[in-house]
Parts: sequence; C-alpha cells; structure tokens
Amino acid sequence: MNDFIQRLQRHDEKALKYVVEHYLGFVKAITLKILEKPSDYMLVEECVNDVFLLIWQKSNYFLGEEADFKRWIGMITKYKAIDLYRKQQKQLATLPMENIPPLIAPDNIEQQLDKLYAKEQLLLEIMHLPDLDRELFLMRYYLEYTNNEIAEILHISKSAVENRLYRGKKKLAKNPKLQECWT
Amino acid sequence: MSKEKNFLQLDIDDITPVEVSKNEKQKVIKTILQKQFLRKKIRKWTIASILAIGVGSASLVNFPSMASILPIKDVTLSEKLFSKQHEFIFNRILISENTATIYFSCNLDFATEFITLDIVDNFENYYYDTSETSTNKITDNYSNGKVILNNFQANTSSIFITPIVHTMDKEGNVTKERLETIEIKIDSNEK
Repeated sequence: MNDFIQRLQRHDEKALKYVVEHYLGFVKAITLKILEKPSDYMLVEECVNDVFLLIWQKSNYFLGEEADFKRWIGMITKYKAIDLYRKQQKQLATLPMENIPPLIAPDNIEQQLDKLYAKEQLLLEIMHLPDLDRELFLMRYYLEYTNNEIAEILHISKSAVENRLYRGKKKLAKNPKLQECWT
Repeated sequence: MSKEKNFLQLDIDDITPVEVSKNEKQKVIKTILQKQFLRKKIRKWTIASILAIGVGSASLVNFPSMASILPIKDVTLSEKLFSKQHEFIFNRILISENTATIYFSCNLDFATEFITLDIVDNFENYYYDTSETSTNKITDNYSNGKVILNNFQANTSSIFITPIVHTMDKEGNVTKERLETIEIKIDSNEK
C-alpha cells in the first residue's frame, strides 16, 4: 500500500490494518525492551494498544515520508513505554497495600482523561521539534524529569540543560499549544 | 535511574521486530476500533452512565458489578421506542437485592454511534453514577445490551429512560439525538 499514510490520515480502516500488520512487531519489540518482565505482560499490551490508538487518531500530526513514519512510531513507542515504566515504578515505591486507592471513581475520570489528552498532545507536538531538542524536551516535559536528572542522564551540567531548554523554548515561542503545556 | 538511562539511550534504529501472530494483530485492530470512542471528551455524568456500543470490554468504565445471582423479581418487557433512525426495545428487567438489570436491543451503527441512557425512577433517584452498562454486537447495525443500576430500591414502580444517541463523524465531532423518554412500569409487567 503506497499511500497508507494519507489513507490513515483519512481514517481508512484498511490503512490501520496495514500499519498494524507492518509495525506491530516493531512496536512490540521496543515495548518489550522497556517493559520486559513477564509479569508486565498487561502493561506491554496496554502500551502497544495506546501507541496504535494514538497513531490511528492523530496520524495527521505526522509530517514526512514512509521512511520517517517508522521512526515516528518508534519514538512514540519508546517514550510511552518509558512513561508507563516510570509510573509503575512510582506506584511500587509509594503505595503500601493499605493505601491503594479504590477503583477508578466516576468523579475523576474526566480529570484523568483531560490529563491524558494533554500529555499525548504534548508528545505529538514535541515530536515536531528538531532531533537535538526533541529528546531533551521529551525528557523534561513529557517524562517530567527534573533538570538535575536530565543533566545526570545526558552527562552535561544543569546549567547546560537550562540553557538548551531556554533557547529551545524561545525558538518555539510561536507554537501556542506548546506554550500552554510548559507555562 | 540507571535502567531508565539505558531505556533513554535505546536506539530504535537497532530494534529487530519480534514475531507476532495473526491473532494478535487482529486483536490489536479490534481493540483500537472499539476504544476510539472512549478517547473523546464526554461529560462526567455521561461517562458514568455510558453505554458505549462496542466498548463493553474496555476497562476504563469498569465499575464492579453488584448484580446478585438471586433475582427477587423478573419482569418481561416489550416497551419500544422509535425515532426516525433508531429503534429501542426494552426486553426484560431483573431485580435483585439493591440492583436492577435492564436488558434491551437497539439498532445503532456499530462504527460511528454509541448511546448513553438517562435514567430516573419514580422516587426521582438518578442512576448516573452507579450504573454499569455493556453491549454485545449482533450485527454491524444491531446490538443487545444491558445496564445495571446499583442502589436500586425494590419498591420502585416505574423507571423513566431517555436514550441519547451520539453519532461521531470522521473528525471526531459528535452530534446527539435525544430520544423520547419511555416509562417502564415494573409491577404491571411482572410475570
């Protein structure tokens, strides 16, 4: 299928089938590298479904050729999986059994959905940034690492992180959606 | 942190795809097509009372079912509700201690439509935050469904149901059609 990206952007179900057929193995391989424990099988499934659902609904955010599409999916998968990994680690670290909250309550579903949408929107917007800035912004604003943590991960100083974020934000000042996310 | 560092340094160009079965691919496609409606913003009460055609298996609205296995009243219904495009038939209501389960059939376009039910009883109890609903697709245009009302009073004599059909276009815009309110009299139908 030569025009699968255009067809996907028109929500053609055949294009979705093509994308799942061709990229599921790739998406699952990335997810398994990050959420690798057998006990996390449900999490792997959740991540894979989330990635394809996002691609199905927001493929119009993708700008580029077929060769770039694989990388785009790969990056989304990588960061979604890391985000899930971090959430899981936080839960394991901070929730003793007696403090486990009740099943999802109707009152906060909407709030949770809003947060989820905003976060996914942010991921897609950041994916448009140049390579150099992309990972830094994903770490800071999608995964919510502190500047200190980013400095440690990238082996650079905290002030270098701050400078790069500052310069990046200045360059991106014209994007109102991104502005909303980090102010 | 060291694990996360490794993950962040993962080069996706070096990833070799894993083998996946045909069944697994079909399962993902089915899940995506079913879940898509859940990703839209819906008013809070609507989410709580959601009756989403095709998302019965989704876990987001997964309130624990409290239906008892021992019904105290089993009422066969034949109440029908028509609009220009839609037809609802309420078939049965099963009342157990503290819960009522209403069974119905409806003709909806499985791919683009879902419904919510606005339910109130004769004591003016609104069932917007306690009901569990699920549907089974029979054909692309016909579904059977049920809605479970928790904290249901056994002496309720009537339930008033207003179905709202939500139709979604390709851009995700939703139009709503509020159908007429139908009264289901429980005692008079009891067998």
